[in-house]
Amino acid sequence: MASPIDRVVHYLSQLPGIGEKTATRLTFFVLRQKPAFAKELAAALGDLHDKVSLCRRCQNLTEENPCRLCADPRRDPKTILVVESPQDLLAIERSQSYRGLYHILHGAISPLEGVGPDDLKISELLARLGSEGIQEVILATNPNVEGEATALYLLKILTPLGPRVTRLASGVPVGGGIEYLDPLTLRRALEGRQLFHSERSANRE
Amino acid sequence: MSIEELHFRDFRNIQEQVWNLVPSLNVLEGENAQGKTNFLEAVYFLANGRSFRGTEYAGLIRFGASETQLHGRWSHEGLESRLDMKILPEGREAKFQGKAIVRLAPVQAGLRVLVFTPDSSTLFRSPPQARRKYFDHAISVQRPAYATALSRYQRVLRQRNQLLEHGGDPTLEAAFDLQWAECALAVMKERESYLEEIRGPWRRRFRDLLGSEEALDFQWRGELTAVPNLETEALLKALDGVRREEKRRGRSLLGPQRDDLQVTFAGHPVKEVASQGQQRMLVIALKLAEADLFQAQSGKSPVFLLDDLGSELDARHQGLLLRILGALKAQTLLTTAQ
Repeated sequence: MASPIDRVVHYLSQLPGIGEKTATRLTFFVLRQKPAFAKELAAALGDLHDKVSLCRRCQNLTEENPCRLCADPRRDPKTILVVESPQDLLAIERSQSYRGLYHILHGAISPLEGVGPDDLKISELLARLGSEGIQEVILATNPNVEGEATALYLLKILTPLGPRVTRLASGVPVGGGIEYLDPLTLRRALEGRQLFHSERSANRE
Repeated sequence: MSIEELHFRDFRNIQEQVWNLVPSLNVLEGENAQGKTNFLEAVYFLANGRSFRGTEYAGLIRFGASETQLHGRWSHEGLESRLDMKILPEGREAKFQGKAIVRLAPVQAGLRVLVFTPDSSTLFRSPPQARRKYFDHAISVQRPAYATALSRYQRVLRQRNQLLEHGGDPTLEAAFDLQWAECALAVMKERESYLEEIRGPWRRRFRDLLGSEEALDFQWRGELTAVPNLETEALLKALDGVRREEKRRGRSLLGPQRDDLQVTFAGHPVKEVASQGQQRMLVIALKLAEADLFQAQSGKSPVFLLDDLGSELDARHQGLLLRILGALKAQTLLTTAQ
């Protein structure tokens, strides 16, 4: 059996962005703390798999099932926003601009990495459409090649099921400069151009 | 704009060299095989992040050294810029004005380095791949947005090829087809618009050099370039025509990755009708036209690297080219055998 230091370094260095040097530094840091620190850390790590699971509705990471977002009666249960990862969900929640439900795919389609539709939580999404009376699905996968392919794929298989399927707009970032935008982004921004807010409300009256 | 100081360490056979340059003509004299071309290659690498000989990073590091360091300082109207570059076997690291950068676009917005070597003359006799590589780079430094569009297209292409090779469900294939069409269109339109922009200067510079008014023309040629009103629908329709063959061969058979820039004299391909001398002038004219575009866009003059010019041009044309570069106020680094 390897020494306790080697074992901790071995596991830490498998974390993304952490090499053996950093892993060694972190290990010595833990050793310099009071013993309770290591015990608490170990207990917290142990709880991860025991206490955190996927929400049976939205597939988010949660301690309760269904998760707090799915159980919140103030949220609009007729709209689902589809994201690739829990981090994406957190970003949208931070923006406080969405009050519906979510669905997390846990990845995006990428033939190069061997990730196909069956490797994502797509069948779970289809099941929800059948049982929850969903009126709108908002596709909020990343605007890169893989996210875009996933959105186009979902668009094709969801549309026949009845809900309105929408895609997050893409275009000029707030605070960004037009001269640095690539042609594809500019093209989309132009195609998706909109009336000013004031004109929109004037038109409605 | 001119380079004032260069400091190279462990690049090819260069152990350590410091150069102070004048803003006009700098001549590097020496026997062959003394590393004159290596010096120009290092200057080119600073501004382009790659070798003009197509060498991988590991091949540029001096034998026995673990990394190469290149430092350059240049100025424009009294404002100094500084670039520090490290070449490691697995990649390069750059610091511009002391801050780490990944893409060299901010450097290239101010420092444009163009090179002409004896190898450059073969550009229009080489296979299409060499021209695509050349123009992909030339367009990318002039229009950073092209680099973004191209790398996205290449990603889509790789994903799509993987899918074609291993087969996938038709809905998924359609999703990648649509992206392929959008990205291919972006690349093709940008290439076309660059060609529109450089056509005039390129013809003008060719006339400056040869004094003759050939009916010179340039066109992107490929399976899709002749399609009128090229839009995504037309691309998808063209894809339908080759779908069966694509599935059989397991890869994409259409797209700008197969296009070629064809140059013609009075309608005839240049490699069939032009003399070697004319082809050489065509390449020099192209570089001068690239300089014109850069100057028009940035108000700055580029730096020209001319390797072993005497082996390529007679005395009259050497004089002519140097006078043109003088008029452009382009700093020139020239190597010559004794």
